[in-house]
Amino acid sequence: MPAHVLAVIDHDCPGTEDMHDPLYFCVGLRLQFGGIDLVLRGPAVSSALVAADGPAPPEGNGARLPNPQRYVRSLVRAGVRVWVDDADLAGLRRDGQVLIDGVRTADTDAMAARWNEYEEVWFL
Amino acid sequence: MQSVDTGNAVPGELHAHAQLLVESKSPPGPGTVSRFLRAARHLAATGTQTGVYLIDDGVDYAVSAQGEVAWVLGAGGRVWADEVSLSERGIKTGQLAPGVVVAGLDAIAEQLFDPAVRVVWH
Amino acid sequence: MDGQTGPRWDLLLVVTSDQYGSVRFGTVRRLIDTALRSGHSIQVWACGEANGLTELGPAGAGHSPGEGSPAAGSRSRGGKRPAAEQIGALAAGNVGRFTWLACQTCSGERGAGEHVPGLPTPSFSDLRDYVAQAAKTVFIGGA
Repeated sequence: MPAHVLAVIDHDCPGTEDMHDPLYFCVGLRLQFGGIDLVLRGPAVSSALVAADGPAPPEGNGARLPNPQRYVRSLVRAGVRVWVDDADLAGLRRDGQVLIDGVRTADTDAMAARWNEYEEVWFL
Repeated sequence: MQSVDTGNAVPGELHAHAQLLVESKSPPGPGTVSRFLRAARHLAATGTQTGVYLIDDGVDYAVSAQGEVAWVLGAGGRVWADEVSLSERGIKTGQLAPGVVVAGLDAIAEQLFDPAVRVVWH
Repeated sequence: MDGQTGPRWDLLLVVTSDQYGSVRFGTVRRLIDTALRSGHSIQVWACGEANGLTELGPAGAGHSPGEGSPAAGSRSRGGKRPAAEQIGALAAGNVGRFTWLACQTCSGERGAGEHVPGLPTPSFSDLRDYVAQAAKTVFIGGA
């Protein structure tokens, strides 16, 4: 079912716990709007990449280092559809990195043809 | 590796009959295409009434990324450049890509405030 | 929220971009002026740097507006009034047609002081209600 808001992030996401961070902002949007989808393009794609052989960082860890991946995981677990741009992924992914489980890839420019399915399309 | 999503969602209710994409950022460096204008081209190619409004640094597209502007026009879209932004940057009408129309915010107010026109600001 | 049916405002402009909250405030001002000239109503929701534009006195810690920006608290090179004055005057002179919403959540994160009196300071959790009250929302995000 189409979500209410399509959020697009195409710049760096430091993963801090404040409104300046677009992913943190996105988590807040999901809480309010319920249905949101998320597209990550450009440098933001890195927020969806993790080491293939490393364990996920423990949640609830007292040391809250900037960690954009935790927001992406949280959004996916909450049912948000998250896409990364396939061309940007090819350019940014390093050896040994994989996408966070549940994140999809797409030609996100071609996805513009689906913008009409959303009430709002916001570049965060 | 995740499978490529081909976007086969069932089309839902149309939320806007037209789209106005506002580009406020400079073109990316040489050899890199504008993602936002690519999106505009895709939209226009679907038959959606699509316009691009270049404002602030975005007016540079009308001068230095004329090929990308031509894409949008060729797909049936319209392109406007904000006259105040052009003036602030000393850009003259003669320097603009063919087909770009100089227009202040007042000239596009109808689109800005029409609920049937989605405005996406980049 | 107040029992009225249908949108109360023609446009909600959400500004989270730091550029549009500082050195590009002029464009936001032009959007407001365009709305008022064309007979429309507009609310501006201010997050990030934009949140500081209506703060009275020194800018909040860590978010000093850029040199020469209208939010710097002093007149810009063009002699323009600081943004807080402009926004306050516009709101006072266009009741029911313009207001500026300084996001309280951002104010709290910035350690902001008081904002121009009379301007609403909703919490981020109220954003959806404001979107619902507007016939249309335009979001200016980005770095």
